[in-house]
Amino acid sequence: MLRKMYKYPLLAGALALCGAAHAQDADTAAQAAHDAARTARVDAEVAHTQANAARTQADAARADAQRELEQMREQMRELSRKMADLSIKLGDVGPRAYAFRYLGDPDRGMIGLVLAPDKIGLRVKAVTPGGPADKAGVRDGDVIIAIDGKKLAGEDAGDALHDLKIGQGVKLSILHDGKPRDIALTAERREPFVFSDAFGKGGLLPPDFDRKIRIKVHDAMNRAHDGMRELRLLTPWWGLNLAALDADLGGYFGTDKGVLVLSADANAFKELKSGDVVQSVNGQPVKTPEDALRLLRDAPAGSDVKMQVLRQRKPLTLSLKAPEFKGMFVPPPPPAPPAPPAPPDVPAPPAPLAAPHPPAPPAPPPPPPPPDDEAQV
Amino acid sequence: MPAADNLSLGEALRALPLAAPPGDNWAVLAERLPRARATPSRRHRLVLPAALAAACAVAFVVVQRTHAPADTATVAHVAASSSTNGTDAQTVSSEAESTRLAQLQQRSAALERWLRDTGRNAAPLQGQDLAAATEIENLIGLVDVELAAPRQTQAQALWQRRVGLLEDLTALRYSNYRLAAGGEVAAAYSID
Amino acid sequence: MVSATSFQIDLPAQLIERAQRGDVAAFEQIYRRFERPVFTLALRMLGEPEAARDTLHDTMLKAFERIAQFRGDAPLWAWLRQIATNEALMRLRRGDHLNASRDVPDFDTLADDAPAPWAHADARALEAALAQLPAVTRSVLWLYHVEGQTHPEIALAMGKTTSFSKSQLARGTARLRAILDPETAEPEVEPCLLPTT
Repeated sequence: MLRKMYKYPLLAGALALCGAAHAQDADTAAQAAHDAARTARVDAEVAHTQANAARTQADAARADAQRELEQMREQMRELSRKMADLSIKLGDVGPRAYAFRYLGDPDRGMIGLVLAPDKIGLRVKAVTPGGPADKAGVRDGDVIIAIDGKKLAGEDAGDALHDLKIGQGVKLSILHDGKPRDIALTAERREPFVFSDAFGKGGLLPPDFDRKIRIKVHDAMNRAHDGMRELRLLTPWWGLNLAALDADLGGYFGTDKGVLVLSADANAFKELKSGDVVQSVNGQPVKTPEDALRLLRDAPAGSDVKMQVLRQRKPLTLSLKAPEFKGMFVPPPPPAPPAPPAPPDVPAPPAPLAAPHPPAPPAPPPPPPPPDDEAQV
Repeated sequence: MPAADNLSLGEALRALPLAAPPGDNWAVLAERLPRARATPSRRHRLVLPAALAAACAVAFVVVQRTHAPADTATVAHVAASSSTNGTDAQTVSSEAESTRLAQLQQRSAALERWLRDTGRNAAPLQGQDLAAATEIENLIGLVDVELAAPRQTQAQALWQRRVGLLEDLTALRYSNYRLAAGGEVAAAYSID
Repeated sequence: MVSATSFQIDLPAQLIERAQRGDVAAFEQIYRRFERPVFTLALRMLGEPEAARDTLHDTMLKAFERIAQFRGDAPLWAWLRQIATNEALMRLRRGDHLNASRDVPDFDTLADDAPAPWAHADARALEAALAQLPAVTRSVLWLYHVEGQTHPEIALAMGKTTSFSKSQLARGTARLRAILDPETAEPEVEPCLLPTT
């Protein structure tokens, strides 16, 4: 990963400094400088100057990298919007078009279910871990027989779930092991920090689209995809150590709803104290540590964030600034994606899009899987 | 030498010399330690870790007993074939495709089940691990949005991606689990 | 004879207790003894010195933060090795190595009595050959042969099935053989490449 960095001179030197000194934490760098002062005054002055220089350089590098990353994310979001428009014009309702529509509109929400039509309704094939449906206890194999009171019938069954906004309520009537249950869900946002994954590799645009634009987009997206792969799980976390409350722990803290703060980076979260129980962030209820981190991270850096906490069992509203991306090691971002293409002029109603990939040529049947000897251990 | 002729790969690897990192890495680490120390001392005041660790240890033992690998035979076979490494020939036969798809979906369901049953009792993830778990959940969320598309053209690729992400999340929670439960936990329990 | 794992260093209980109470000097001693084993493990698994150094740093930081909770059910070296392995695998996960298409082609495994090329290869040649393997394959090989982990343990650490671990071991071994002694290698079975999405 670091090999790639040296192609970008702007960041290479500063990031090498970050890597070598791990000066991500400017305060500890300064602390070291102060310790040295006790032993030798001359050394102290030199060390002090160096620490300041290191801090300034590291901060500048981090700020640069963060800005570039944010620009990249904004460009990707804009590209998603344009691609969504294009997909509508071309009549594409495939998965990629869905991803563009979702990513391009930050207000869109989801309940975290993959469904398939069934005789009596919609069968749950998968549940997004940690998603609203998961938290409400929906399981794969459950069957939804009504949505918001309307019994499901036929093809248009799941349409009600395709246009949810964050915070929108959905009532599901479910059969679980044959037993009926009613569940009220609230749509939430699940958006990866870096979503180049959805763009994937291969053709974004239909094969009959302008060839030059198609190639440009293809190349740029592939490079972005590869470059951002290293960022895949590197997201800001600000030293947040959180614990979910349960009935037992709740006894100590006066509630079993919310997330306990064990520690937090003092620079990022001056107002938070360990022992605080976070109950909501910007109006959204917080049930798991992941919820809390996600909501804090989704808030734009520097924006005002309202947090409801319980402190010493008393409710308190904290107003803080969404922190900058400290603690995140940021490799230089890949080249920006190309300017989104203008949707073509479609003189007649759009024809349905052909499948994006040609069928594979016939090949020999796959070899039998290696025998899995589970008898051991 | 006769001994060298019988040198197994394991022995050859174990005989490789240790590598030393360049530079003074302790100095870099030492700068961060005083700050890092703040975390545990605060925890002690909250009486939290003892209760949590005990709860995890008990939960793990309970889970061990309830998750007898009873019907792992069929699931194992399915799981085994679902992870063949790149030698799955892309066939045009829809029967082979739908089998593979079914395998991926079954693996996905098995991993979800593990996460729900065991992962729930796992020790809370901290810091970077928590950020990674949150992000993996987000990535799965996006895949699920794509899987909900009215016209599905990427089923196999999407389910494959879903399984990969679930495996990442499982490994993350499991590794944290093992550390919290303390000591070498015998891996008698498997997801397969 | 080199012991099975370089991690197997026993520490005086008093040193551990001091470190648990926050004594940085005591922790430094622990650090110094395990710096090379941790770095080497990360280097062998990840294949990149810079990534290995970052892993060393993250491992030791985590160890420092958590050592107060170490209960001594197992030796400290095993606990530390667990953290190091987790950190290295985390790095592989971040780069999506664990889910990327596996490049190691499916070699026919040779008869067991074929002469082992690593007996005659020097350390440098073996290291160079290792470097040619994908990180995941190399990690399985290393965890299995050097750190003595079982297939179920490796599989769980990676979130994979036991058969995945076994096949990675078989392919990695066959590939090393082919690299170190091309004469005896069976011809490669051409992998059927899946189209990328």
